[in-house]
This record gives sequence, structure tokens and C-alpha cells, in this order.
Amino acid sequence: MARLNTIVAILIFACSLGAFSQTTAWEVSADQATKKNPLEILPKNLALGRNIFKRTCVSCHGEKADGKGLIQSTNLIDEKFQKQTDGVVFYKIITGRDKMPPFGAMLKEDEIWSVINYLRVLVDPSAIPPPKNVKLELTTGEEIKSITAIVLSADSAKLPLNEVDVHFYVKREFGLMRIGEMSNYTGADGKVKVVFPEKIVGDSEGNVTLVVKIENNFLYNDIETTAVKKWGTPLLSHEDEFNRRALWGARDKSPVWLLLLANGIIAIVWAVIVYVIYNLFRIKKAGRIFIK
Amino acid sequence: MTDLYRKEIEIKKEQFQDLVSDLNSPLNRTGSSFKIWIGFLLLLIGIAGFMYVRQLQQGLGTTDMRDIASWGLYIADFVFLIAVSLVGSLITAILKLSNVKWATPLTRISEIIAVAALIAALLIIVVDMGRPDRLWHIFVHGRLQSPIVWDILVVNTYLVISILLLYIPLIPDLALLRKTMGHKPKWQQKMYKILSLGWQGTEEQFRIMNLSLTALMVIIIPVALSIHTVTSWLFASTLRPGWDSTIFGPYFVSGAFMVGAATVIVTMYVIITNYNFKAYITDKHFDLMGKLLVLTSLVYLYFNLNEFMVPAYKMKSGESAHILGLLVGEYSLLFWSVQILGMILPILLLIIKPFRKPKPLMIISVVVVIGAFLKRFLIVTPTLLHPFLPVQNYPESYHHYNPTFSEIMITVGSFAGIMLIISLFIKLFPIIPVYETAHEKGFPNEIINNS
Amino acid sequence: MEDQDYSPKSRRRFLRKFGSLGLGTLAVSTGLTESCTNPTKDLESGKKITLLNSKNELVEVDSAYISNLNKDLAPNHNSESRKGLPGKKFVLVVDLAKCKNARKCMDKCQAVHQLRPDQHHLNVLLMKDSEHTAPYYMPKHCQHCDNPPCVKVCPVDATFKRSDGIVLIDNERCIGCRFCIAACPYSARSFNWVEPKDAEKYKDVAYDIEKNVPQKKGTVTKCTFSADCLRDGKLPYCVSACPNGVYYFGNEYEDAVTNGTSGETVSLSELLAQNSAYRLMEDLGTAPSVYYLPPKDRTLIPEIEDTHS
Repeated sequence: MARLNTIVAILIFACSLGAFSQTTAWEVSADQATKKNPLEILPKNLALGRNIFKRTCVSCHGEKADGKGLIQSTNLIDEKFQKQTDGVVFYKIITGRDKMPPFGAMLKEDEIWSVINYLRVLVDPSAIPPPKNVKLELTTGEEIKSITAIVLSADSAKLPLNEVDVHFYVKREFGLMRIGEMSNYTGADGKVKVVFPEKIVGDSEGNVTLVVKIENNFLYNDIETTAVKKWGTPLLSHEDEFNRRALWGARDKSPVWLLLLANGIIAIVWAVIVYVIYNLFRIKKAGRIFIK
Repeated sequence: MTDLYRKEIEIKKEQFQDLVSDLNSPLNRTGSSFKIWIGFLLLLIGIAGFMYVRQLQQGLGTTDMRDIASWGLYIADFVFLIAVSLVGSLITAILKLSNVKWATPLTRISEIIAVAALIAALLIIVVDMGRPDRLWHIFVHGRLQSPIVWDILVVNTYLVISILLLYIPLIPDLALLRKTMGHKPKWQQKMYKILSLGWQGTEEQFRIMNLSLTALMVIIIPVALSIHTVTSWLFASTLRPGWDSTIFGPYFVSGAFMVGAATVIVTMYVIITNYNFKAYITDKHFDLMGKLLVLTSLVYLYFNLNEFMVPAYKMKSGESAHILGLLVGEYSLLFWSVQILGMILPILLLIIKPFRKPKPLMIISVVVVIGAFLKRFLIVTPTLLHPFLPVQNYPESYHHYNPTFSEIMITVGSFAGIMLIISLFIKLFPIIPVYETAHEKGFPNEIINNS
Repeated sequence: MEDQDYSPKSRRRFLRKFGSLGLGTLAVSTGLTESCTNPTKDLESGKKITLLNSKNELVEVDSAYISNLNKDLAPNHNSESRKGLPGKKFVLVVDLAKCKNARKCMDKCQAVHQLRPDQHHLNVLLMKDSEHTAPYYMPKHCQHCDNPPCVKVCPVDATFKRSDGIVLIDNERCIGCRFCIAACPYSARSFNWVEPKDAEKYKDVAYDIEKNVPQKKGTVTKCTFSADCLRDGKLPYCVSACPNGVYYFGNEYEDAVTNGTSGETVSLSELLAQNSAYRLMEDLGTAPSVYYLPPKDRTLIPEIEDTHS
């Protein structure tokens, strides 16, 4: 009897566990829910939040965070979501549920807080001042291949702007490949320098297109400048390899040994066949002579 | 003395006349049973034709082949027919060049089997094509790197040589037919006349004929070996477990000799029971063909041992699913039936002389032929059903291959076609070489020429 | 996108894409009109353009649907298609750690290439290498091998390898012998056993070898690496359809691959080196153009189901 009870208990437990795992609720403890966001809503933090959001969240939650990504998911800009405390959202991002992966292992705490800040600003942009236009100029160093971005105010004063996040890229076939760090901040002189990495492949002559951007910034509007430099390794295409004679080549690219072998055999065998057919005519002719 | 000599000649002449009328007897007797037989064959071919038209309209979806088992009964049939056709070279060329005299009455039987099987093989491979309307692409865009192109080249070459090997020894017989078949319809007489090439049996004509035959017999051996070797390469040139084998060439060739010998035995039996050829195809012929069948089967057994024992010993991943499927899995019943009934048991029985009598030998040969066909099926299908990567996201039916009625009837139609060609040939030409038999029985050429 | 070219050529192109529906309306949601889109771009730009359809009616279309105007019309385009894009060698990297079997790639591929549900250019397999190893999902495309066993055996040059590494098949050349299906160790090819899906709709569409559409009964069909998209400088259909960032695609010569989901571009050699990338069945010597990153640190470990093998 006792054993039966144990089995029943285990079964019930297993079933409840099964049911539980299907509709896992996010049980957030009061402790977790009241956790304070250590980051202030500052443009710099927001930029980080936006970058992380674009990289990790957009695919499911959509560009606008409205839950309309490549799959249908939670709307992050409606009231239901936004009324949750920062602590609750933080906990949910860390633990994950169903299709939402647990990001605790993938993102740093500060990064998660900055994403939360970004989500708050998405519904309430008034928290930050309107973005300004800037001027973006480039200079390049040739001795050590490097690129320096100079960010100046757009007005006639052309004041150098401090602490502006500049992104550096190299243009590739299907997108822009980052060089330098995720964030590169200008100094007091409005300049930020990035060393061009080695072993970047350019076009057939080694030309690379450098793209420098100020983007996703809450203080300044997007701006982009490009420069073409002969800094890369020339692109080495192995097209010859795909045009040589090979067994997988097209019909006019059969290997020579195969051509010789096959045609040689065909020639020998068919020479015999043609000879025999010719003999048939000889037999006929020989019969005619006999009649005469 | 001259009188005696003349009398002897007269007797010889009469004996020769008897021989000719004996061997030509199938041409003169056409009973209703033959007509029913032809009608039956035509019916089978008709059904196959209907099924093929349906297949043309609806696509190869009328078969049970799908993306996993993408080759099936048609390819098995093709390989089988190519195997059967190999007997032409075995009996005519290999035995003849080795001066084996007893095989002479069997040469034409084996040669017409070869020609008929090749024609059927060429047709069935077109049936297997998804786009038969683009057959000409092979000639316009053919790629020498593809084993299919090699196969097409070599099969057609073999067909031409086989037809020549069938035709050239027939020329003296045709000359005889030209003289003795005066009662036949005009077209038939005309055909004999044209085909006999004005044969008069002169020394020069014999010389040219023998020269040509020797040339053909020498050249047909490598060509025959290569048709089945190249056919085996259609499989062996892929990376698939079960096909990725270096002994596929000799394995196929030895199997072909076995099924070819068995086919000839069955045909011999059908011919002697229908026509009065007991004096020409004797029990001795059956006995010797039985021995030949044992020999070829033993060679085939040896290759089977290699083909299955070696991978089964290693059980390499990839190979193991395939091998286990054959030895103990889905196909084990068929596999062991084919191996035991179609190869091992025939060897054991045919070692015993009484089993080499015509009737038991014929029954054993039928089993060998059926076994050989199923063996080809076992070579083609299980391998395709066990690819390297798991078969997923397909309907359940994709995991199996069970030929549809349409496929089976078209395959049956290919056999009916072979039998039709052979049956009609027997009605139009002497199936046992008249000239060669007379020659070997010691009739001088002048008697043969002047009768 | 903003191309407002009204030249006859572009109009012909447009008519080919839309007029061929044989309907007055524009059924833009079907695969017929699918074109390559970059993941970050919205499908509808909201900008309307007026055009003439095959019935000589003026219709209004969203400008997003009239991309690729620089592309030539199919017939001329097809002989060019055998050559390959110069200076490029395409490579696909599949990050198994990220695949959650969403199958958006499969759906997109089947929609675009006019495939029945049982026809796969791309198949997401549930793999389990051995008894004690964990199962994982593996999207499997044509591997576009550099030593392609399928191309070797084709008797008529119907399937061929281009200089940019792509293995394509010419529907109008294929004789349907299916030798390539038998030769492919990756089971990556499919055959049109019956009349293809929506054959009636595609009846008048000009054949595009790089898209392999329309499909034809009795011919083999296979993954094209979306060569039609690549010609336009866009990512393949499956790559940009993935919601989980599984796919990276790029030019091997340039040593860079772009993630189809995030649009992030990274160094190919670094990605392969840092993740211990491998290729499928390396021992067969087929030299695939598809790399796999091992399924480690997965966010989803699949349930063990009945796996057919």
C-alpha cells in the first residue's frame, strides 16, 4: 500500500512537473522585483542598450520591439509589459522561458540594464534631449595603417565633440565588418583613431572601402563617411581551379587521360566493327564473281 | 569405285537434307499454341505500353520511386538484362575460342538471347528516364566523364557486335533458306535473299567469314566484360555504402555469367520440348551446361563472400546499417532466399549428376534466374534506402520501396519483349546453326553448297 | 529600392514577374513574386509606383516589389548563369548551437522554389551522432562541394559547378536519369516525380536557372545557394529568413561572412577557428562549401524523438 502511494505520488509529481514545464510561469520573488536599475538613463547607456537590442532581441521582438520579429513574440512597448518593474524585466531576461533564451549567461548585467533603459526610452523619448547634427571628417595614417575620425559640431563654429561613439567598418560582400571596438569614443579634440587590422582582403588590387559611422546615438543624428584605401591584401581568386580539366568539369573540360583512353578504345573497337562490316560487302562481291 | 563414291555422296546428300529439314522444322510448323503464345506476349507488351503511356503523362510518380529510393525496379531490370546479355559472349566467343565443340548448337540461342536482352535493356533505361523526350541531349551534350555515357557507348557497341555475331554465322544458313523456303511469303523470301548476301560458299567467302568471326570473337570479350563492368560502375562510382566497392566489376561479371548460363539452359529446355531437336541438343549438352552453371556459380559465390563478408566483419558505420538490413534486417528474408536458393543450393544440387538431367536442371535454372533478378533488386534498393544522413521530414512511405503495379507490368513487359523477339526469331531462322552443325558432322562444303 | 527606371526593359522584367500570373490582380504573397530581401529592410516601403500590367491596365504596386531592375531577362541571363560571379566563392556557415528548428528557412525555400512539402532543397535534420551524445538540429543544404560527386556523373552537363563555387542544375537540360541523386552522399537533391506544385500558375514564367523556377516534371532540382539573390548582392532566401542567427553567408575570398539575422559581418577565418568548425563527411573528399559550427552552448536541446536512419 505504501509502495502504491509512493508510485501515485511520483506519478502526480511527474504529471505536475510536465504540466508545469509547459506553461512555466515567471515566478519573480519580491526581492528580485524590487531590484534597482543601477544605470541612469544617459545617451551613452542607451546606445549600448540599443546595440545589444539590435543584436540579440530584434530577430524575435522586431525592429520596433512590438513583438513582430521573424517569429511572433511578446510586445515590449505595450502597457502590459511596460508596467513591470525594471527588476521583473531583468529577472525575465536572465532566466528566459519557452522560446525566450536565458540571457544570463550571454550578457553582462550592465548590458541587460541598458537594454531595459532602452526599452523605457522607446515608449517615452522625452527622457532625453533631441539629437543634433554633427560633421564627420576622416584622416588616415599611412605609416601605421590607421584611420582617425574627427567629430565636429555642424554649426560654423566646428567645435570638436567629446565622448562621441564612432563605429568603423570595412565593406564586405553582404554587409559591413567592424574594425576597432564595439564603441570608440572621441577625445577632447573630437578625434578617435582605429588601427587598420592586418590580413583584411581588399579587391583584386587591394582596395578596401572603409565606412565610418555615427549611428544609434541618442545625442547625434546618424552620419556616415567612406574612404577607399589600398590597404588590404589583394583578393586572390581561385577561378582557374574551377576552370581546369577535371572529372567534374564541363564536357569541354574532360581530363586529357580520359579523352585519350576513351576515344582510343572506341577507335580500336569500332575499327574492328567497320572492318567486319566491310567484309560483308567483300563476301557479297566474292559471291558475284563466282556466278560470273 | 566412282559409283560407290557417288552413292555415298547421294546418301550424304540425303542425310544432309534430313538435317536441314530437321533444323528448319520450326519454320514450317506454326500451330495454334504458338499463336496463342504470341498473342499472350503481345498482350503483356500492350499492358506495359499502356502503363508507360500513363507514366509519360503523369511522370515517374506512377512508380514507387521517390527522393530516397530514387532508382528501383527499372534499374534492377536493366542490370539484370545486361547480365543476361553477357551469355552471348560466353558461349559464342569464350567457349568457341577455347575450341569447345559441344557448344556449337547453343551459339545462336545464346546470341539471340543477348541481342533481345540488350534491346530490352536499352528500352528499359529509357523508361527509367524522367525526360525521355530529351534522349538526344546525350548525343548533343554528352559528357565523357559520366559512367552513363560510357555505358551507352559500350552497350550499343556490344549490341552491334552481338548482331554481327548473330548474323554472320547465319549467312550460309540464309543461303540454304533462300533455296528451300520457296513456299514462304514473298517478303520472307526477299528477306532471305537480301540477307544471304549472294552466299555461294566459295573458299574466298568462307575465308572472309571466318576471318570476320575470329575478329569479332576476340573483340567481343573485352567489350562484353566492359558492358557489365561499366554497368557496375554506375553504382561503384558513387560514395554510397553498399555500392562503394572495388570488386563490383568482377562481382557483376561473374553473376552475369551465372544468370546467362541459366537463361540458356531454360531456353534450351523450352526449345527441345517444343521442337524435335533432341538429336542436336542432347542430355549431354544439358549436363555440360549444368557443369558450366556450377562453375560460374562458384565464382559468383566467391565474389559474394568478398562483397558481404568483408564489410560485415568490419561493420564500419554507414556500411553497417546497409549490411545489417540485408543480413538480419528488413531485407534479410529476400537476401537469404536469393543467396541460398538462387546460388548455394543450385551449386550443391548440380554437383550431383542426376540433377543435371534436362528437367531438374531447367527447374534449378529457373530458380537461379529469378534469384538473379531479385539479387539485382537487392543491389539497387537497400543501398538507396540507407543514405549517410537520416531520412527525415519525408512521408513514411519514403522509408520503403515497394514497386507499383505499373512498374511491375512494365518490367514484365520487358521480359515479354525478349521472349517475343526469340519466338519470332525461331519462326524465321534456324535456331540451331545448320551449316556449322553439318560442318561439324563432317558434311563436305560442296554438299552443303549444292543441296 | 528607389529605382524608378521606366525603361522598356524594366517594364518587361516587371511584366514577367507580375503579368505572368494571368490575373488582373497581383497575388504578391505567393512564391511567384518572392524576391530577395535583406533582413533589416521592411518588405513594404509604403511608396507606390504605377505600372502597366499584361492586360494593359495601370496598376499601383509598392516600390519594394520592383527591385532587381538591373537584372537581365531570363533567356540571355541563363547562359551567363553557367559562368559564376567573378572574384567570388560563396560559403555558408551554419551555427548548430543556434538552431532551434524554427524551420523558417525551409518554409521560405519551399515557397520560393515552388517545392512540394516533401521536396527539400534544405532539410533540417534532428541528429544524434551516438547513444550518449546529445541530439541537435542540423540544417542541411546542398554542400556545393568543390569536388562534387553529382556533377562528375551527370551525362549531359545539366548539373555543373560555377567558378564561384555554386553547383546548379539546368532544368531544361536534365534528362531525369537521377544518377546525381544516387551519387550525392548528402541526399541533397530532389526529383519532380509528378507535375510540380502550382505548375499552372508558373506556366508562362520564363525559366531562371539561378532560381531553378519554374520546376519541371521529370527533372532533378536542388539548392542553388539562391544564386539569383547573390547576383543582386543579397543574401540567400534561407539565410535571411532565419530568426535565430544560425546562418552566416559570404565570399570566401574576402574572408568575411554576414549573419542573415543580425546582419553582423565577421571574419570567416576567425569564426571558423574560434568555433572549431567542421565540414560534413570530410573523409569523402567532397570538399564542401558549407561549414558547421559545433552545437555547443545551445539554448535549446531537442527532445529525443524517434529518429529514422
